[in-house]
Order: sequence, then structure tokens, then C-alpha cells
Amino acid sequence: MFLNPLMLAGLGGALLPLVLHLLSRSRYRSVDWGAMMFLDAADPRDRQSTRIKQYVLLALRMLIVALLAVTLARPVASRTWATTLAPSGPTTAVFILDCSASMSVVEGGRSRMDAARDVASRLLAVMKNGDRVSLITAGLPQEDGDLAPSSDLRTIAARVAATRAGVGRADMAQALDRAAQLIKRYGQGQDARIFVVADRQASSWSDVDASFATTFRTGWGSPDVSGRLTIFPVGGDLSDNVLVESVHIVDPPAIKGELVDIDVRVRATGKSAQPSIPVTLARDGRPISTQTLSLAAGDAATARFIARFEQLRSYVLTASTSGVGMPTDDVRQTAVDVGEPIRVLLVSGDEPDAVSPASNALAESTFFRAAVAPYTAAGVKRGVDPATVTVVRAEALDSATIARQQVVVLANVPQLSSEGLKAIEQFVYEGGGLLVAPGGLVDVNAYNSTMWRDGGGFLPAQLFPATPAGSAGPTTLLGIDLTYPAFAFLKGRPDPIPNATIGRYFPVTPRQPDAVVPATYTSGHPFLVEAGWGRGRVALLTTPLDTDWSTLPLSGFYVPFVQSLVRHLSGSADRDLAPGQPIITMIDNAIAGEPIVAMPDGRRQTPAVSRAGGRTEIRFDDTITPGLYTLRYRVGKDDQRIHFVVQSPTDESDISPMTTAQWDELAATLGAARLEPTDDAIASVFTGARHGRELWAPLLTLVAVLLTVEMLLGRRWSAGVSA
Amino acid sequence: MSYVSRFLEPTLVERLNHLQLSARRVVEGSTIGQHKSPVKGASVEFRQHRFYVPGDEPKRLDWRVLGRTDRPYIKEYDEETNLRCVLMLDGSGSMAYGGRAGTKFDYAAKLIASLAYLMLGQTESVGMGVFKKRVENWLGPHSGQAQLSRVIDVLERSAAAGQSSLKTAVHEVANRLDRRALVIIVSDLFYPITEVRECLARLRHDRHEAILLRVNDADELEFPFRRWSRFRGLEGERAMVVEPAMVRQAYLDRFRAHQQELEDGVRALGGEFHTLTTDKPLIDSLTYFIHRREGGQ
Repeated sequence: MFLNPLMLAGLGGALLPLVLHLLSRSRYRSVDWGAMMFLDAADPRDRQSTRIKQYVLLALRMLIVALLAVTLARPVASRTWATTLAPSGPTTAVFILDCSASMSVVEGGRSRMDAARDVASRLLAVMKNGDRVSLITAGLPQEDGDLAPSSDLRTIAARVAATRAGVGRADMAQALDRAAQLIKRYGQGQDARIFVVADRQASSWSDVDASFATTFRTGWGSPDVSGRLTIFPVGGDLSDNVLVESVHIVDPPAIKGELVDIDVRVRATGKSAQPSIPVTLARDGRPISTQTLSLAAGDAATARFIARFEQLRSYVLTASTSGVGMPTDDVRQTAVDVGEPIRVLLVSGDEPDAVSPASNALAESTFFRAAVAPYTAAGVKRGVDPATVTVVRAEALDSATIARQQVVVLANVPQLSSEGLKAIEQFVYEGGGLLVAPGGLVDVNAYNSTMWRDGGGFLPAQLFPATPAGSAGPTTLLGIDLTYPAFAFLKGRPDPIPNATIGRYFPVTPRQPDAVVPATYTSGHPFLVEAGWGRGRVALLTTPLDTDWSTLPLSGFYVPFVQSLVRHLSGSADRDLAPGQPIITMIDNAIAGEPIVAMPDGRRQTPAVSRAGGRTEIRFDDTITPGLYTLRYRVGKDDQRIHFVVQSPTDESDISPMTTAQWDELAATLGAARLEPTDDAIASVFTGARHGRELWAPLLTLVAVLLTVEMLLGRRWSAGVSA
Repeated sequence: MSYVSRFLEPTLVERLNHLQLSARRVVEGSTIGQHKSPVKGASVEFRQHRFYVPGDEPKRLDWRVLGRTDRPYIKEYDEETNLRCVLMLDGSGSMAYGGRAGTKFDYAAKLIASLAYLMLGQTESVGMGVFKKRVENWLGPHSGQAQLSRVIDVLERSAAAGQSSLKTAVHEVANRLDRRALVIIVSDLFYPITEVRECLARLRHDRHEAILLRVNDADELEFPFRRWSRFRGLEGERAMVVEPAMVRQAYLDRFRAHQQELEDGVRALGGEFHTLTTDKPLIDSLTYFIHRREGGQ
């Protein structure tokens, strides 16, 4: 029996040495020779011997070519022969089962995961007692302790049957590396096999390159793994998929009773356009509304929803679309904490005199309050303000005033007192947001010496004296980074540049390398600089909040910009996490009892709790699995609940299959055999070890021996050849 | 002497002139010791003066000339030449083999011409014969420059072809020599050892001194052929188609054994044996040969 019978055609090549021999004889050169007595006088027995030597060498060469052809055809000795010659020992096999999200794709009424389980079960069925199997579930979290090979094939079969497709990506490079380590540890000296049962998704193999293959083969412990690593592709070649790429609140945080914009971004991958894709947004499982999107192939579109949150608690928003391609990425969730209006403390340097407020009616606080608390400022109650503003004079600033605030604004404060400075530093360090908006009263040197401190202070940039009035001419905003959260409201506007004139501003030098400059003037100087400090963040606006130096407060840009900036600085907790990113939350009060985290797979675990100064920090690290995590705890008698969502990576959503060329290259790189999972193919994988023995190795050795013999004989019989 | 032919080119002559001293000493040394002439000094027929060179006997100086000119000259007489040399050139077909360096026959002919030039320049008598199955173009030993022109003329008219018989030729030459002589045989010596031995025995019996100069092509020493080849005998032997790699070792073994037997046989019979290959410059081979003789072999 031959596993590669086509190569037997190479037997014809055995005639090649004979043809070359005859050709050489027929195309001899003529030499007029004088010393014929030394040729002609040869003993007839010598001539006969020479002729025999020629025939021996010719036969050897023909035999080598023929044996090479037979070797490449991979002959298999019968079971009897194999048992007689070399009885095979037990097999140590590592099954790598693709459990990535793409395995949930249903084709022809059957999921890819079902097909993979079936292939793995059939492979297990042809193994024998004494064989040992490890099961690696690529795409699912797995403890190292679960990887040790077991000879209990029934248990392995049960584990295979219980395997489900996850929501993550299968990293085949990582899985192969683990398999190689297992073989190296447990399978040395045995018949070692690695079986990969996976769909045809190309992205699973993206990390398997030539460099990896070299390491893999070294880890495997054998220079030649050909025939021992076998890949069984399952499923079809479906490439079209629609996924919910993201769902998020446009301008967080969500305020109780406020209308909130929510964007759902949907993408179509593959080769086909998707003309009518329904997108539904649900709040805590109850649908809000449904929209229909039309997507070109490979394109993405955004559906905007509006929702109102009436309670102070954590919500879960679920965006879903109907199934084209992979079902697991048809749904994406986000967690939303709904809070009270943002508490803002405005520290004013030129607050109007309380006795005669009309004397300075257009101070910074006036414009700022009108922007972030418009209903309150206007004295009407037609809506919910995003913030509540408390105004204090600079000299009144202290730690008691600043307590429980979310954002502090330093508006044209000449300089901070020592106590005020300490209070601000502590506030930012603990996670508060600070907006610094200097004006004409500011002492630049005092700012730099107390807040900048050569880059060591919380001010994100070094201040320089303001541009003189009318010296360089008015300027305006030019460069605006629309990805900066405070400018997100400008997206989609035909002309996002505000129609405003800035007469004076403070040139600044941002701190390197952490400060960002999301907006600049036409002159190139920064309009806004932001950097983190401690757990909080600090924004420096280089022109005042009032109309003293610019017409910004009079433009339509001002209100949404200031609102967005305050929302951004309020540091609303992001409840969406990446896989593996720990859940960390601070609770202002002491909690009663043990908190519990409910995980996506239904398990419940107790997170770590640490208490300091009356506040409680809860930390939970086991967030590998994408999905919804709910933290429950008690404060007094109240049950509290905070949702977190570990987002699944979107790279798994590209289910484009491998091309034939990619398969071939992969097989060649890894030295692997790729077999379609037919009954014959599955039966044949153990042919060499179980139902017979492959003879290519001894035959190859024989070829090498014959080659050596041929060379030695040729050299011996033609000794004396000059170089 | 101003004889120029393809066998005695000016550059060779120029180099030979430098060899004159050594050659004379060698030739004289080798002849005076073994072939002392009973008629030495008997002749009174003055032939020529020649310049004294170290090694000449002082008594042969012409004192008168020395006294008049203060230059040492030696007086030479015709009968003073006491060496008769016969040069035998193999003209068989095998001598026609040659690669880029030229044929063995051309090389041997140049060797003959050079030896003749050297010895005639030393007033010796030189005879010569080209032999195939028999000796052809025989020149009896004579001295004088006219003999050199006769030698070159014979060489110019000779060519290597057909079969040869060393035994017949040597007997023929021996029969023609009435006095002891130095017989130099220039040949590839592709003869059976027994035949060579017989020839040397005959020469020794007649009290001649024999020198065998074997001329070979480098191909014959190395057998460097690689492709299948058809070897056609230059003396009419039947052709053979062989794979060189397969016969090389046997060929070389036979060739070396033949060579060894030749050397042993010649030495046993009191002769000299030297091998020259055509890929080496003739003057170098000749110089080496003379220096070896000078060193007492």
C-alpha cells in the first residue's frame, strides 16, 4: 500500500542512468593513442572485470532512483510485517480544537463546532488503549492543569462533546506552541501526533509564519515533523459576516433624566454588500428602537439612538443585528452608569462684586454657568442640566470647598493660595478633573512656579505671557482633533471650525511626552492642552472663558464644547474592558458583607476588597472571557449593582477563509499534512503506526547507504582521477 | 654555428650555448673515463684554437699565444676527438602522439638536434639514425659542422608513422659501429621489456655505452580522459571503446610497472635511463639530464 502512489511514476526515472550510459557510449570521442600496449595488453579477465564493475555501478544507480521513487510514494508495510519488523508503541496525541467565535457559524444546518467535534470524536475512535491524548481548546481559556495527556479516551471524548464555541479568537500559533511543549514533555520517544481541527478562517493562522515554524519545530524536539502534524479543516468557505463593531454613549457620562445619544457601529466583512441590516438597541433587555442600515462590502455605518435613563444605577445597553455569518458578533453590549448632574466648582478670579453685580455681569462664571447649567442659569425647568455649578472666589478655596466635587475650574485666578494649591493637587491626584482657564489677572510666573514646576506640577504646559492686545492680530481655531472626546460633537458637521475670533491668548509649551494638544490656533499655538496627573486629568485652555479676549462664548461652538469638556474631565468610569483587563472600582462608603461578581459563563466569584480611609476598592482579575460581568455589593441595607462588559475582539469577525495557496504554504512551513476529514483520511492518519508501518524512513536510509556505496565504489574503481 | 630549423630554434641555441661548458665536461668526463682513446695525441694536424675554459688541462695551453696576447687558448687537433656518439631516434607511429605541447616525435627530434649541436660543438663525432622497423636515414659518425646540417636535414625529412623494431634497429647500428661509441636512444620505449633488455645486452657486449632517453606525453603518464572514448592505435592496433574512469587504474598500474622494469633493466645492464615529458621545456629537461650525468647519476 502506498500513501502517495502518484510518486510511483518516478520509477520511470530508474531508466535514466541506463539512458545516460548508452548515450555516453554512443557519443564517445576518438583519441589517436600511442600507448595502446597498456590498454590493449590488458588481461581479458581485467576487461571482464571492468565490464562487470560498470554494470554494477549502473545497476546501483538505477536502484537508487527506483528506491527514491518508492520512498516518495510512502509505502506502508502490512500489519503483520509492521508488527514483525517494528511493533508500534503507544501514541501521544495533542488535539487542538478550534473553539473560536467563528466556529459558531452555521452552514448547511450544521455549525462548524459540530463538525469539529465530530472529527475529533472520529479520531479518538481510531486510537487504541494505551494511547494518551491532550485536548487544547483554542479560543477558550484553559488552565495548564487541564492539558496533561490522559489515557482515558472516554473522558477526552466527553470533554470534546461538551466543548462549545467561545466568543474570542483562536490563536493557532499559541496553541501549536503549547502542543509542542506538551509533546516535548510527555511524548518523547513515542509516536507523537498533533491534530488540529479548525475552520478555514485565515486570521486564526496569522501569527504562524516562518519564524514561528522554526521555533515550533525546535520546541517539538524533532527536526522533521512531516506527517506528524495533521490539520483537518472543517466547515465551508463562507466569508460574509455582519458584526456590531461598537456601541457607546456619544457624550458620557449619562445623566439621570437627560436624553443621551447612543451610537451603534455595524460593519459588513466579506465580499457581499448587505443592503438591509436591522439594528436594534435594548436597555436592560428591553428594546428601545430598531433602525435599518445599508452596508457596502467591507464598509461600516453608524446608527444613532436616543434614550433617557430615569434611575441612578448601572444599565446594560445591548445592540444587535440579525445573523449574517458569525452569530456571536451579532450582539455587543456596553455598561452605562447613570449619575446625577456633574458637580462643578468654579474658582473665579474676577467674580463680580456681590454688592454691585452689574459692574461685572459678563464674568467667566456667567458664561460657564450658562453653558453647563443652562436651565438653571435661565431660571427655567424645561430640562436637565448636565452639571451643577458652584462658584467661589479664589481666596475661599480650600479642601472643604472642593470635597465631593467632580470638576474644578480655575477661571482667571491670579494665583492660588498655599492651601488652595494643596487642595487642588489632592483633588486631581485622587481622580478629579481640573480645567485651568487663565485670563488677564493671571500671574504667569506664579502659575509656572506653583503649578508647572518645570514639568513636575499638575499644569500640563508651561505658560508664557499672553500675547499683547492687537500686536499680532486676531486669530482663530484651526486644527481640531475630532477624536478628542470634547470635540466629538463636531463630527459630521460640514464646517467644524468655529466662527470666532481670539484676540489674545497665552502661548504655552506642552509637557512632553504625555500632554496632548487637541486644538490649536491658526498661529500654531495650542488652544487646549490636556494631560493626566495622578488619577485625574487636567485641561489648560489658553484663552479665558469669557469675552474679554475672544468671541468664543458668543459662538455656537462654546456651549457644546464646554459641556463636553466638563463631561470629559468628570472622568466617568469606563465600564467597558478589554479581555484580561481587571475590574477595579472605588466605592465611597464601606460595604457590608462580601461582594460577588457574576461572570458571563454563569459562575459567581468573590473579588478582592481593600479598604482605606472609609473608601473601598474592589478588584476582580478573572476577566479573560468576553461578556457581561455584574458586581453586586451592599452598602448598609441597599443592594448595589455595577455592570462591566469585557468586549470581544473584532478581529475574529473577519471569517475570510484560507486560500489554497495559503494552505499549501502553511503546510509546507509547518511540515504539516492537511487532510479533508473524510473517513478514509481519518483512518489513514494512524496507518503508519497502527495498521501498518510507513517504510519511508528505512527506505530513505537505504537510499543514503546505496548512494554512499555507489560513491565509494565509483571512487575506488576509478581511483587515480586527477583533479 | 648558425644552423636554424624548427628543431634548433635560435632561442634554444642561445640556451644551449650557456650549457656548453657543462655539456663538455659531462661528455668528456663520461667518455674520457670510460673510452680512453689509444690514439690520443697521435695526430699532429692542427684543427683550431679555442678559448681556455676551467677544467682544460694546462699542458694543452698554447703558450705562445698566451705570451703574445696574454689570453689563454687551447690548441685542438682533428684526431683528438675521442668520443663517437650515435643518436637513435624512434620514428614509430606512437611517437606521433601529442597534445598542445606538440608531438613526442618533434620533442625527440629537438632533443636529437640539441645533443648533436652540443657534441659537434665540442668536436666530437656524431652519427645518427631514425629507426622504424629498420634504421632509416643512417648517418655515420662524423665531426664538424657539416654533420650538424646533415643531422637536421635528416630530421626535417623524417616523420613518425608505422610500426618499429628497436631490436632490429639496435642490432643494425651495432653492426655498423667498428669502435666503441656512446649510443643514445630517444624513444617512448613502448616495447616489451625483454626486447629492450636484448638491445642493451648487445650494446654492452660490443662495449658501447647506452643511454635511453624516454620521451612521454603527460597524457600517457596521467591518463586524464573522462568521457567515453575510442582509442585508436597509432601503430595499427585495434581500436578500443572504454570508459576512462574504469580503466585508468589498470592502465596506470601497467604503465608504472613497465617504467620500473625499464629502469631496473637498464641499470642492471650498465646503461642510463632518463624520462622526459613533452610538457616541460626541452632546455630544462636537457639541463636536468646533463646535470644528473655530471653528478654521477
